[in-house]
Amino acid sequence: MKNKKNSKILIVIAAITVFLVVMLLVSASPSSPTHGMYRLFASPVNVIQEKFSSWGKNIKNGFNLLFNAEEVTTELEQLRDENAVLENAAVENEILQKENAELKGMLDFKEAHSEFEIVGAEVIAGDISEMFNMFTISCGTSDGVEEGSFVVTSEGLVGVVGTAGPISSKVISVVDEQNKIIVRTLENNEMLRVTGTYDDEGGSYLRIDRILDDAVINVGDTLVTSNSGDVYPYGIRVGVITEIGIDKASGTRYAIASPAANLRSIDKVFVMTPKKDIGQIILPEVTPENAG
Amino acid sequence: MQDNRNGMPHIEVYRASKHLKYQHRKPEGVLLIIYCIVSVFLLIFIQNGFFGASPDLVLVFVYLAAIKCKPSRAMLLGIFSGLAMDVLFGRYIGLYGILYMYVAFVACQLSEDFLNAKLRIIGAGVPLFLGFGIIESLIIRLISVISGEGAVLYTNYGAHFVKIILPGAFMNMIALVAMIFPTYILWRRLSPH
Repeated sequence: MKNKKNSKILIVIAAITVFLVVMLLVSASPSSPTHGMYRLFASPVNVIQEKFSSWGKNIKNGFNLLFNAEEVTTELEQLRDENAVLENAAVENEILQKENAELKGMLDFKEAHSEFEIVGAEVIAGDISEMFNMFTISCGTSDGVEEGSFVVTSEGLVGVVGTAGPISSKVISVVDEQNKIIVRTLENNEMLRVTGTYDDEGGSYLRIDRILDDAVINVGDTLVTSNSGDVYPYGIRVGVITEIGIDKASGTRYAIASPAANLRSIDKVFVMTPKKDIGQIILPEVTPENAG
Repeated sequence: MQDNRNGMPHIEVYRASKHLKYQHRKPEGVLLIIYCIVSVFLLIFIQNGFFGASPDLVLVFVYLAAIKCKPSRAMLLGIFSGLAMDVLFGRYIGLYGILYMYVAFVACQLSEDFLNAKLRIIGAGVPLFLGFGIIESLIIRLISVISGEGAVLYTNYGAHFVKIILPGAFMNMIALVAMIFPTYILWRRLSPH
């Protein structure tokens, strides 16, 4: 009897495992219907997650201020209240300048890509594993975001929307192994293929392979999207080449690039979605009966 | 075969005693179930809002709760917690469902005598969290390679173990030490027995 019970338990465990493994393999594709569960359940949860993320950022900023306050206090002992006011004003000014530069960059960017709708969003949750390259942002289909919309900051390309819920979306970052982007170098207009690559030490970078023998590329070259395949418009910064080498296995050249955007510390992003056509306006036919 | 004082053969007493290890684990009341569900979501929010990938607060809670539950309930908690993580913030649906289910199952197998001391609960967490990190990493890389995204499983497993798996397990141990007392204090208060 005990053996029968044990067998039943093992059968149940095995059945659950098989079911979850199948679901896992099916969900490996970003377009899998299993991700529909995210669209269903994410909205109420991410409203709360946004609050927790905001508190988390405030606490981290508070700790930074605590360490900076020691330096300010030391200087205040020498220069007293007047210097404290000047220091605070300088910090506020720097923050405003930084925000202004970022917004100006985005305005120029928006004017250059007027065929896209641009929606601002905040990052509300990062990776749940050290090995994914995914994060969650605070805008979704209710804001016009679609799966496949690409995500940028003023520094450059950040990633692409993998799953879009009503008020939040999961973004797969540009350094994810799933992402393969056709780019061009700004300096020599060479067309290259860039793939996200995972580093066993926890870093991620962009790898360029299949480099033609006569392609002219140099360390420091800037990579931008090439408008190939109508996925990305031309000219969005993707990365900068940091290393060029020879692949020992194939004997061909390869290059390593670091992403243009600092993916470890992004806080605010912009989602770009192609504008929809308004459609053809059909006028009613004018006849003697309905004229005038 | 000589019977024991209950009139059962020795072999039956042996078989029965193996299953008596769960006898001190009482059925959970409604309050405890609500506590588990609320804790899982709260820890998901705190982890994503404050910490990121590490420490894995939900894993630590599943481990602590599984020790107090019967196997079926523990595994149910593991599946529920894992699927919540997967659906809301994860990449692959079912990955953490499977992983947390087995963590709960393994935690359940630890005997009541062994787990009488909090130090032993903490000590048992070391191999469990290390093993979790190793298997989690292996499954993610396997999926990546099988689906054609990744070219190789690992290029430098030693560096990966030292820089990713070990620090992750260490952070989980710190979270375990921080969470063990408040978790079990609330558990005792909300338990129907």
